[in-house]
Formats: sequence, C-alpha cells, structure tokens
Amino acid sequence: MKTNHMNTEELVEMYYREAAPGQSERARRHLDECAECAESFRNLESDLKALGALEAPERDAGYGERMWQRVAVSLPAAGWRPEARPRRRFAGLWMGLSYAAGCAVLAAAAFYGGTVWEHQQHLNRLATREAQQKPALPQQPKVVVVVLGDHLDRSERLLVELKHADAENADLVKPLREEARALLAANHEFRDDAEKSGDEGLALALDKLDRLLTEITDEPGGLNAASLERVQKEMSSEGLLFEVRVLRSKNPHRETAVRVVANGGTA
Amino acid sequence: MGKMGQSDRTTIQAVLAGDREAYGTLVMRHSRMLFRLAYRMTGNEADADDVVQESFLRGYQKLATFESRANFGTWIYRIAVHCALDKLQSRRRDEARQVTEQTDPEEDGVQVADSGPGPERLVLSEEIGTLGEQALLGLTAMERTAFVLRHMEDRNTDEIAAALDVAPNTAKQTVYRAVQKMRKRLAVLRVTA
Repeated sequence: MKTNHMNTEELVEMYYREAAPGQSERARRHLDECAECAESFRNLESDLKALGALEAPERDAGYGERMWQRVAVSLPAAGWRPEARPRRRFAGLWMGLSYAAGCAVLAAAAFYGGTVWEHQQHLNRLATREAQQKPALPQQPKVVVVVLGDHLDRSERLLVELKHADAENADLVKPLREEARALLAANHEFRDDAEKSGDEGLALALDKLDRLLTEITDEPGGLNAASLERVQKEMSSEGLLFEVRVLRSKNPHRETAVRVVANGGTA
Repeated sequence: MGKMGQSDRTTIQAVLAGDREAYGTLVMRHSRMLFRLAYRMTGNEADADDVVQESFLRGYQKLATFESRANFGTWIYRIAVHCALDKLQSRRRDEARQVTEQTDPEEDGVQVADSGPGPERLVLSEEIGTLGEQALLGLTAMERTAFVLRHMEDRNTDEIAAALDVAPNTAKQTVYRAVQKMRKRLAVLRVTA
C-alpha cells in the first residue's frame, strides 16, 4: 500500500467519514505510514476547515411570524385546499393482483351491468341536455369597491398559483380562470387610471397583467397543458410576478387608489 | 431536524381539513431552520428569504402528498433544497462571471502560504473564508448544493442523494467535484513556502 498513494477522492471520502469501516481503517493505517499522503490529507483538511465559515445571520424569534405573513399573502384563496394526493403509478404487486381479481369480477358482471349502465347514461344525457337548454338566470348586477393594494395582492396570488399549476389537475386549474376573469374588470380600471396619471411603471405592469388575464379568460375550452405552459413562459419571460410584487410593496398609491367596479374585481 | 412531534402531525391534519391558518404554525416552527440552509446555499439574505417563502408555498400545495409517517422537517427541507437549487440555477451565469472578476489574484493581491495548518494559515483563515464564499459562487448550482449539504449541513451521501433526487454515487461525485473546484480556486491565492 506504500507505493499506492491515496487519491484525492479517497482523501475526501476519509475527511467526511464516508468510507466503509474496513476501508476507513486501511486508509487510516496508510496515512500513519505514508508521509506524502498524510501531508495531502492535512492540506485537504486545512482547506476544508477554512471553507466552513459560511454562517447564516441569526434570525430572531419573530422571523417565523413575519415569514408566515409573507407566505399567507401568496397562499391560494380561502376555500382552496392543498392538492389531492396523486395516484401512485406503481403501488406494488398486491395492487396488481387486486386489479386482476377486480377485472375478473367485472367481466362476470359485465353483461348485466352494461345494460344498467347504458340505461343510466341515457338518463344522464337527457338530464344534461335539459340543463343546457334551460335559459341562464340573469345575474344580479354587482358593484364592488376595489383598493389597488388588494388588487395587486390578489393578482400576485393568482400568478404564484399559475406558476406552480399542474394542468392535469383540473380542479385546481379551473378556479384560476375564474379568478383571472374576476380580476380583469378592476385591472382595466386601474390600468386606465395609471395611464391617465402618468404612472408609467404601474401602467406597463397592469397592461402586461391585462394581456395575461385576457389570454387566460379567453382561452377556448379553459387552460390545458399547452396553454398553461405558454402562460407560464410568458409570465417568466416578462418577469410579471416580480413586477407585481414590487408594485405591491412599493407603489405609493396602493392603499389610496380605489375604484368602483361593476360585475367583477376585488371586493 | 428532530423527530416530527405529534403537534406537526396534528397541524398537518388540520391544514388538510381546510384550516389554512394552521399552516402558519408549521411556517413559524421551521422557518429559521430553512433560512439557515437557504442562506448557505444562496449566500445572501434576500434570496434566502425568497427561498424560504417559496418552499412553504410549494409545501402547502403539495401537503396532501406528504406521508404521515414521515418527518415534516425533513420533507420541507428537501423542498427548500430544490427551491434554492432553482434560485441558484436562475442566477448562476451572472454570479459565475462576478466570481471570475472578484477572485482574480492579481486584482486582489491576497496570497496565502501553503504551509499546512500552521499559525500563519490559521490567522488568515478568516480571509480564506471570505474568499471561500466567493469560490462557492463559481460552482454549478448542483455542485454548490451538494457541497453545502455535505460540508456545512453535515448531510451524508444518502441524504444528499435523496434531497437532490440523484443516485448516491452521483451525489458523491458531485461533492468531490465541488471540493476539487473550491480547492483550485483557493490554490491561486497560495505561494509555495
């Protein structure tokens, strides 16, 4: 072993105590006998000890509370819940066997069940058609008062949700479209105000937001994987989420700019 | 990250049952631990705060996938590793350029004798530490993450592999590459005794 010096990888392994017990013992004996390797190890040890000085600044006990305030603003709107547990693709042999047994039972019941199912489907189709033909009730006109700061808060939440949305989870994606539609009216108003008052930064960001909200709202058939990916790329390339966050925290008119909006907006 | 207490489990159940505010308890309990990790990985406070926030947001969205027998601290820690990795990847090019400029030995003129861990070297260790932080910026996002987890967070290869979703051997090789790069950067500051 004297002629076979330890390589750097082995020395690093030794330093971090990652070597297997037997290997570690052999390496330790080699270091005792080989001055060259021992020096290499000391140098490595010295360098790595010197590099270990990146200490994080201490955060006080109130940090968690402040962080929660930041997180809470960006959480999905009230009434939402964390997404449902996805189905596992590989859940073990017993699941396969259960599936096979289930298939056998289903096959035995297929003839009878198929008839019942066919009948039920027919009833369902009739019910759906009837519901579609029913004239929609006229919506009550709604007027809401919107504060710019609230509008930006809610827009930020939507953008965060869009950023992490999974198009395959329809239950989560559908409400995003509704939320975009709800924000659109107020966004128009605030954008027009910003243009008139010469607040170029706000006008520009709200204009981008407007395009995005419109795109989401007008997407035929709702958001699917392709359209969601496109929206996420646009958001990312335009840095929209960042701009909205900055405006939410810095814009001087966020608490004073108020608009009355009909049929939508942030209440 | 100790064992997840009963209170974490109870809180998670409350959140999953629709009590959004209960999530605040988890945020308050684990924020400081995540901040330390995020700071070590990103190297600045603002980015670390963003990483912590993003981690808890992702955690909330994925909470239903959390296995009840698992440790929430470990789980959210792994999410934070990925968030920090994303943050590092997004700024990697800019920082790599800065490091090249800032650690130019001719520009800084700092030289450290390569004479083993003797007194001179120990005296200068604080300076090396600062330059070491700069050297960290020269690593790829993956290397920096692996190095921080191994060297500063004292995680073993299996834990690093799990956090990064890579094979243990890949994790080990990544740590090794990172160590090599860090030492090369430090080597330019030395003169032979």
